[in-house]
Amino acid sequence: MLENIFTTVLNMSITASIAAVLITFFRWIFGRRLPRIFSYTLWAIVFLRLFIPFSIPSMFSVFNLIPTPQTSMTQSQHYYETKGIILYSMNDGNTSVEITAADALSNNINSSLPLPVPEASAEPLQVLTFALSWIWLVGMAGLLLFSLFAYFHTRNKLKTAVLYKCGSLISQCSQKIKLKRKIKIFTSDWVQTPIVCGLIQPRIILPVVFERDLSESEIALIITHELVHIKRFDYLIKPLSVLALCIHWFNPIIWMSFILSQKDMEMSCDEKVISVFGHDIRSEYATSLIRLAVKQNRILNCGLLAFGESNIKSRIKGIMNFKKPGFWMGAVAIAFIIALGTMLMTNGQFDDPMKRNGKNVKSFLTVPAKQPTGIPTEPKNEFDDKNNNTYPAINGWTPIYTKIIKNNSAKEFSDEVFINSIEGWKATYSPGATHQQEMILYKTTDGGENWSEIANSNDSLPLETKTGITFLNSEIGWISTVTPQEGYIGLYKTIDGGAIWEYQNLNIPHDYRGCLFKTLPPVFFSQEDGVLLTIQSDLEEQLVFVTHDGGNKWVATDENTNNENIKWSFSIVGNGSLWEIIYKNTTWKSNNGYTWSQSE
Amino acid sequence: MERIKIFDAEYRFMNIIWEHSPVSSTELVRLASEELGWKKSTTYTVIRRLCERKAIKNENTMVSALIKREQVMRAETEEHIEKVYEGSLKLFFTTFLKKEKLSKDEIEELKKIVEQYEKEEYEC
Repeated sequence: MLENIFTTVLNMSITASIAAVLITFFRWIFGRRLPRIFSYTLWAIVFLRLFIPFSIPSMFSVFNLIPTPQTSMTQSQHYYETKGIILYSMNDGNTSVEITAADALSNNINSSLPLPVPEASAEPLQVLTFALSWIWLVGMAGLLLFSLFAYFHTRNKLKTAVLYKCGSLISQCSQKIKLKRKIKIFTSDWVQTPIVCGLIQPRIILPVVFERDLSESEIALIITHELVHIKRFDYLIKPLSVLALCIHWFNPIIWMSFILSQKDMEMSCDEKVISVFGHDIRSEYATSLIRLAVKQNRILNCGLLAFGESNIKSRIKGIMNFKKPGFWMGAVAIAFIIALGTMLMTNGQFDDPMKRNGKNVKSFLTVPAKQPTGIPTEPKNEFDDKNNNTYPAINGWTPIYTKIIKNNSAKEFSDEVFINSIEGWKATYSPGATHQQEMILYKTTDGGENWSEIANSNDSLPLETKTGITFLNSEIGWISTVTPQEGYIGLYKTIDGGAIWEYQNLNIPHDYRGCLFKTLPPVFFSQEDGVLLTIQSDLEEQLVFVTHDGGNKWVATDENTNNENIKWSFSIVGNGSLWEIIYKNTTWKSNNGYTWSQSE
Repeated sequence: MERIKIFDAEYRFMNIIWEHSPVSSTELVRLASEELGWKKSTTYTVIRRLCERKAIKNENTMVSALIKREQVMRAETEEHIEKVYEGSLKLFFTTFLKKEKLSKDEIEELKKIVEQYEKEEYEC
């Protein structure tokens, strides 16, 4: 659980960092020539990236440019693809989730991080992930607590701030920037710099010395600056930025972004003040900033959450340099921001490395992102163990988005199963003696580019006629078979990723012990809950088993009875058969028992 | 004559008391809200604090001053502020939150920048 959250955060951190680096580059090139409001706007991209774990896929996304790695390996990682939005979900339990989500987004970054090694024990990696997640959590909690403490402490101190009576000054300033809200100004000896305080009803608090030391025109400039902050809702953006910083505290790029965005925030406010008061006030404004800077050389920051004035030097230069941008310059900049925004806010269209994997594209691009809800009718499901070749080729998904491909052509007779975009198994069959079938099992860790043999019929693989294979995760998988033997359910299980297979003994109800069964590969709805379908030769009553522990224990369950969230039914529709399984209020349908679609 | 340290906000509140003393606390709440923009709870907190320091007394909700204007020494709050943000927390955040401490040279430099820009403007 914690590891999953951590991985998601890591993910967001990496994408946001890419955006941040590009924006910094933009700032560096155009910063001087364009008003700061442009670069300040751009930081919104990083801001959103830091909070939103996914975004809209687009062909314009910069993340399309990131090449797919050939060697990375994920363990039990599922890519859930729903309505074009790609979410990454990791299984907990016996899996290592560290960094693997990151590779879905930017694999070249991933290469600098330790990759899980398939054959090596997952243990040390799991420990590392666990430890890192906790370090992250503790760090975040510490920073949040400190921020909250500082915020409430300051707020408490500022309760006794005294109303500053300045006649119509405030309404004049508000009018200048077209701010409709009524804002009150207070003075306090607890602050050294003007700040905006309060989240719901922000108020401006000036240092008490201002009343004595500053002229009314200087105060007007300062108040206007703060009012601009209020008008732009900076008083909410800043605490949220601090929150993002607390969450992503481990990422130095985010710290840099925070500092730069604060600078842009202040400088764009300065620009607004100058543009409403007119060019002539620049030196007066700059001079009051310098005067303020002389007084305030202390660390009162109101616990991060209030406005301080910072970066005096660059602000002074910015103020004195400020020119209203020409129309064309502005237009070009706006177009540029929109383009950059589209590139950075959207995820790569082909984020799923499986789909981007050149050589494999053919077989995957044909699969729609969302399965069609209608069930196409297929020829009547034969029960014919002698001629397995009559099965149609199948290409589709199980309810937990395991990809199932059944190749059945003159060239190739095989089963493929992918538990994520890169990790999969393939079984090829060739005829053996009567009712026997030779089998070779291959594994891939690169989306089907390269296959390596992990077992064959000389090992523990069953010789019976195979009906399919499936895997629940990197370790656990099944081979289902059919053989003319009464009361026999052909089910073989592996718990080591496919090297060693053992017959899985099921408790067959007495009534069924004289029947012939065709067993289908188990179908899972979660890492725990699944069903095992068998088809009886007479097609009258089917025997179905249900598991709630990831396939260790299977219990025969009658049709239309609810077994802890799972209810199944079987019917003959027209020419074909129809399986219907209701899992946690979702109805899944299949006419072949291999691939499933969610019914509306 | 004993002198009592008082902060700016408290001093302004004392001003109201000196002007109206003796005054009922309800009336004081109203005056503080009007003059200082304080909430009721804030006013009561400050009354309690000043009572503890023996600057005022509060008998049967009638508040009156115990000290005279001349006895008051308006305190500088700097030391308090330093205290709160001291230690490790300060160290942790100093790097990016501290106010730029400008040296005299830097201030001169900034002033020159401003002057220079002004000059350029005139020449144009």
